[in-house]
Amino acid sequence: MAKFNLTVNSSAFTIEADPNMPLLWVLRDLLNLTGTKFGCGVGLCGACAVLIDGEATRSCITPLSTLADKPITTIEGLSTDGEHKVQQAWLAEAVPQCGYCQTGKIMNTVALLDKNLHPTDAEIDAAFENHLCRCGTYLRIRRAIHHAAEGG
Amino acid sequence: MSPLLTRRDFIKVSFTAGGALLIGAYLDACAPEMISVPTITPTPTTTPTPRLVFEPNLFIRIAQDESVTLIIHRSEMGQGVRTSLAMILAEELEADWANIRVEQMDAQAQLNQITSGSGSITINYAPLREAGAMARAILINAAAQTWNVPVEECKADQGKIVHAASGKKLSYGELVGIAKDLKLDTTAQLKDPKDFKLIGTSVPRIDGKDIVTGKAIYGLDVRLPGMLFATVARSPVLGGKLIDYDSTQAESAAGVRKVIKISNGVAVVAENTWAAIQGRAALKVNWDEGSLASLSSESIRQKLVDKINSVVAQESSTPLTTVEAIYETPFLAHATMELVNCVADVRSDHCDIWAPTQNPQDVQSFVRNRLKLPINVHVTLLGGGFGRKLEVDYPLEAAEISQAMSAPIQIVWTRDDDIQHDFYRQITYHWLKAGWDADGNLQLWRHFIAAPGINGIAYHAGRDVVEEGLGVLYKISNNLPQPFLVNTPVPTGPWRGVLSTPNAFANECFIDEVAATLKKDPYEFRMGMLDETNPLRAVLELAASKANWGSSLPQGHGHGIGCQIYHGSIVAMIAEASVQNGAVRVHKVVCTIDCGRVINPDMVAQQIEGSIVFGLTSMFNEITYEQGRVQQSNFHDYPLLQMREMPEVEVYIVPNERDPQGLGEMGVPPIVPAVANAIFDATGIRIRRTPVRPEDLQTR
Repeated sequence: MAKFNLTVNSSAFTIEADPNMPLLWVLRDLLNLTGTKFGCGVGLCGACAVLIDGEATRSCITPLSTLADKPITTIEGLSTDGEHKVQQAWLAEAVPQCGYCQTGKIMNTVALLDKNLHPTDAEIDAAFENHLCRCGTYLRIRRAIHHAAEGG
Repeated sequence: MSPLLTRRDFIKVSFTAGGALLIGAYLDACAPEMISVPTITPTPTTTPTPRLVFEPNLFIRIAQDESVTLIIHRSEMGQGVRTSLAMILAEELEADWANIRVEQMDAQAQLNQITSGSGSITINYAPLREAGAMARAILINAAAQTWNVPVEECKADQGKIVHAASGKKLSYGELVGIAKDLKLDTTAQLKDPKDFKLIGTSVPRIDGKDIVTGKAIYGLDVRLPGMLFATVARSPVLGGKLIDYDSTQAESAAGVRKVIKISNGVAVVAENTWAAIQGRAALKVNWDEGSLASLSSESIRQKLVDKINSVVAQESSTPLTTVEAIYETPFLAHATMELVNCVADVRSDHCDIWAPTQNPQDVQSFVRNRLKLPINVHVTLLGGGFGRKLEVDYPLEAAEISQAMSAPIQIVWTRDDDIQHDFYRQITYHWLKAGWDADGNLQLWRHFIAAPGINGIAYHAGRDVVEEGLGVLYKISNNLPQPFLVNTPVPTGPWRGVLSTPNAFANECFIDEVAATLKKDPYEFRMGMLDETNPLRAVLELAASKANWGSSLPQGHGHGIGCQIYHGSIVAMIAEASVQNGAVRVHKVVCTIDCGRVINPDMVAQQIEGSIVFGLTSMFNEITYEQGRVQQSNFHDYPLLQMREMPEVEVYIVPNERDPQGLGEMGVPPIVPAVANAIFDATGIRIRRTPVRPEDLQTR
């Protein structure tokens, strides 16, 4: 056990936990931020994606010990009430079915659009390698990303 | 003219403590759906037994703040049931959609809330309309009484009752506030469907905003004060029994509270999920591997082969020219993105369960039988179900651990647990034979399938489930579909599309083989065996037209057809596929569907897109057993379709005003044969088994 200072959604937290504990469980079990989801535990599905220093990162394989002083943004910190353009695009294109993995997809999109204002389908596909959706919403995710890129 | 409502004891009205109008209705069509055999008539329902006590199973709450709340008795797992059931109610009630709210109903011991068999809309469409019409009549009566005008002069519109002659209006919320003597009106009439304003429109999902903001609460998101987290070490070998375990290291791991023996293995209870996972990894467990330690999926397959060979040997010979083929499919896992999980809080005199479940009554009864306590089951959102969450294994584990710990517990399954301890889609083995006369008229059809039934804890099915979708869709004089049940110790369960999927694969590919042998166009060949009155004609015709069947495709691409009739819906797909660098590439899928009256067209498209992905995934993965152990464990060896593999999809609805039919599973059966037939068209290679292996794609 060790103490770590984390900045999550612009708030500072001191966490005392196993240094190897993945960020996913810090968020879900210690900070009660359950919008970030557990899907595979090995970085293969992307349900747990969050932003660390603006980079889309799989929180299920990111140990707590690596996070000091790096700003972390989860779905709860993306907007106060779903007004972020990516969230709005997700609603406009009716992306979610069960919705479980969608917060990870949204965070991955935020990071993608931050680097690439107008990604092509091929660039979207590359950014979404190993971001899995069992409900099969892929076509709508692509549409929503274009929708958000075009400013809604 | 719309039919009159006839059942006077169908509905009861009362006020809640907060002054809201509570309407309780009895949905008489709440019959067990189970898995229905494919049919193009609506799913049969049973007549309710007469009840002396009125037990409403549907609740509508109309509050003074104008909110109209439907207590949803089915599980939302992505199919949009909360939205579409609420739409049906709002339509007849003439409610303002902006004021519609939904709440999830807890398990009611006397009801059937099971969400399976693509049946939620089919079964609840008529009763919900009737309840909405009754509620509307109550409000109209209340307004007419208030204004002292004839009832006939009042009408409901957008959450208000309007008296046109005087221009008076009262909103539903206002009416609830002033109404004193609420009367039932048994002359209430259903709306004429041509007046529908909401049904038939693409209303956005009612949970959408909660989902995109991360506020939606799935089972795994339930948090209770003092809740502990648990993992379970289960026997890696099917049917293995615990001998003993050493928990020294596990219990010394940070955050681990206790290691306990439960009926299903060894549970590690901890302060957080990570500690529970780490603690389990540090456990040393000895298992008695038992009698299934040498079980392999190959040995199970061999039993299916032996069964088929023994029955085929008895087939008499025919003067017709014949072809035969074998088709086969493997065990498959559900792999819901939300892993199965459950929170249980067992107290001395009762137990509360929060579960992402498709089957609240069985959760309640199985846990009650285990604990001998009253059980309350709270149904959360489901992060995917596909049939997996019809089972009761995970609530039983949670309840047992909570009772032992005297604390609320969340049982967490890892992906390895999920892939290796599922109730799998059954393995199947099919023999088909077709025969034709000298003029090339198809006159003989045999489709024998050998497969296990469903042998879960709560969910069982036998020959009926093997027979699902087995009948060929075309008119062939000497046609004999035969299911053979071959049981297996492998746990099996309903899996989106169930055996309609492998049966459609075999039928629709083999008909394609026959067409190719007879040098006939696969579309014309099928159409030639559909009577003018067959509803598949219009569906397949539209698919061919939208897919430009017969037009030239890019070099190396092929077109393939797949059709199925399932849960009352009629579906056709035309896939365009190629084989590139030894891998199948599906470029485009055109789907046409007649699913009766459509409640929400965009949700039809969503379900078809989703089932295409589900079916395509099934073409490239499998669950296998060796030494009694499942060989796969996570998405590296049980891969799901990736975004880059996603074909373009077009969905077209064939209009039909019969009542709504099943939808959630409809797209899974036709996609596999459509793609397999497209591969043949592109390459001349026949795909007769899934998963499709690299060697199956070698050019001849």
